[in-house]
Amino acid sequence: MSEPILRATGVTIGFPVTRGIIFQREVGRVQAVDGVDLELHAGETLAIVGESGCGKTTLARGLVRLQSIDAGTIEYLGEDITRRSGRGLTDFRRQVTMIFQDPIASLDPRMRIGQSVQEPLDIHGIGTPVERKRRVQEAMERVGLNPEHYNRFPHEFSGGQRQRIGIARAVVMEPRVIVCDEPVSALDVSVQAQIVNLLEDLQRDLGLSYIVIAHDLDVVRRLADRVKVMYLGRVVEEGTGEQVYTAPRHPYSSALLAARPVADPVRARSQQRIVLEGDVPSPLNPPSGCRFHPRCPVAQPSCAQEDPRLEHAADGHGWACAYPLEP
Amino acid sequence: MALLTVENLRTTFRTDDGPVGAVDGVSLSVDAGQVLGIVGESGCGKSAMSLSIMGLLPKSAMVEGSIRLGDRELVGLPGGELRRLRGAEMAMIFQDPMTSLNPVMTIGWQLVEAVRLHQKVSKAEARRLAIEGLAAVGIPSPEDRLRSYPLELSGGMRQRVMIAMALLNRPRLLIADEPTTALDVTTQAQILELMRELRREVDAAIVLITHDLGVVAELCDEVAVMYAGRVVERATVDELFARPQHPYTWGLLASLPGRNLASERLHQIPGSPPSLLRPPAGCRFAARCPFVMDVCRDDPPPLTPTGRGTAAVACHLAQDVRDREGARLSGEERA
Repeated sequence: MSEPILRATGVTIGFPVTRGIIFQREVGRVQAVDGVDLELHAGETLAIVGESGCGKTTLARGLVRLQSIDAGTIEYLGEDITRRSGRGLTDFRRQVTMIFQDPIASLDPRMRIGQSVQEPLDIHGIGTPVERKRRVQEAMERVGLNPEHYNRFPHEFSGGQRQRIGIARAVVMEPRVIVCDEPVSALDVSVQAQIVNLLEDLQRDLGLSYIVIAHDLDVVRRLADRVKVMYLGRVVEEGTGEQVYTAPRHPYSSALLAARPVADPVRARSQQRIVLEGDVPSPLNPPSGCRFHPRCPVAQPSCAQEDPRLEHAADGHGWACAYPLEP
Repeated sequence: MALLTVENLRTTFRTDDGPVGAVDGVSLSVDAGQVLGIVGESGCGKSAMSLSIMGLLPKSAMVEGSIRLGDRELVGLPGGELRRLRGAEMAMIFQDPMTSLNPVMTIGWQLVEAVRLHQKVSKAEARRLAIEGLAAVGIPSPEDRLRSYPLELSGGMRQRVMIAMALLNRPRLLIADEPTTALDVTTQAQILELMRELRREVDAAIVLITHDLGVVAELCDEVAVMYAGRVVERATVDELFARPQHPYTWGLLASLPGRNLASERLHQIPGSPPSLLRPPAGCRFAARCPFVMDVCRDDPPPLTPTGRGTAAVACHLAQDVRDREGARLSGEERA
């Protein structure tokens, strides 16, 4: 396989835990992301799924260097960018951009949307004012916004159109990679479909690579070529969408998939349900051994001691479980 | 006999730009022990309707028509009487438990208050009922939890506390407004399972408001699909998924990513819902409808029975066209 565009090796991200209000002192560190490896190839979509608190958003922020990482390396086109700063970091950020979940929170309400879309070009000093304006209009057209709306304000747009503005801001830089953090979860179903189709069109036309962070497994199934399932900061299963969705080997992936409501009343009534008990444990004090064992329906006594490593089959499908499910 | 009967409900908000008809002539009913799902996208009026039923809208909102709980008319009831009904006869669960629970009071304080507002019982008895209530919704060590503050609980646990609080006084009507939308899929599955159990045990009528057709399929008996303030289709859940009748329902079903894996592109409903400030004269879905005819733009179609059970649809398309398209859609998806 060709050299990946983006490669992360052993990425670990922690947050300090402090006590005290005036004399704050660090009493520990929460490991939000714990030794994650990842490769993103040209033109593909890699999805990262898991429950809230599994570290997927922290990982995404780390990959675009919005979050400093404690250990591990991130390479972009074979170059280590983990410790880059200044000019080098700016160059990287021109090529790897991000789309956020809440399009309302990520747009300045007092800025005209044309200016909002143009802002990244201004910051990076790309082109002359005339060229910038042309690129903004192209980007707006590409995402299905009317360029005549250049002078409108965000509140004049519906949720779906605001998300289009967010996407226009990301593509105006002509990036190679876009990291999408829950790109459709704030939207209505019918609008969700519009955005999913738009992301697919942009990928085909511009040759983009995506990293999609999402908790909606059906949207992920639609968009992703490869999927990583995270639990408490670690990747517990990875593979192609086909492998993970039709033959999950890790009990957690299987439970996650079974938890999706089925839009079919006849099947919903007949379906045998494995409901995962309890909540995700606190990452402050992760369980011993396999981190999933307290909630695992097939856990064995040894799971409380031994921490399984991510092992891969010949076809690239990988899972971190001592007693994997039969395919 | 229906426990809740809503007839020709109109809820209008006064705004600076003029009146907005959030709910425009909705009629529906729910029996005890039944779950009615109300499906629609943001702005379709589903939340305005549930708040109208609960009498929780601000004074600037005008509620007309009839809402009957049993044989008591709720529209025009004085505030004090409504307050006595709320929490006792009818209760509501909201999407985000954090905004409905008081962050500076313990769970126990809030539950005991809810009991003592409506029942003449001692503090100790109220506390016992609170513990029972928490245990019934599957909260481990309920006695200890009484001392917890909402912030100390996870999202799923908070939603359980909300459900426990809503059920404390054995209401006859429970309205759940997007009860699982803010939760992870695994937690959502737990809460749906809990609601399925409660439905069997508590003989209440449940109105479930959601935008998620998956949740509807899992939990509801009957469904009303709302669009721009009106009910466009009503049917049993099986009927709705097997023979959907309204083009808007077809669009919703076809745009579900999980049901339509084989299709090259995800079906999308073009455009966005109309402004309720100046709603279109005819069918409100006409501008986005792939089957639109001239008559649709001028005459609003009435909700008309399809002849199959309780099913009804508001659409000018001929019945055989609707049957064919609906069957094609659900057949295609199951293939």
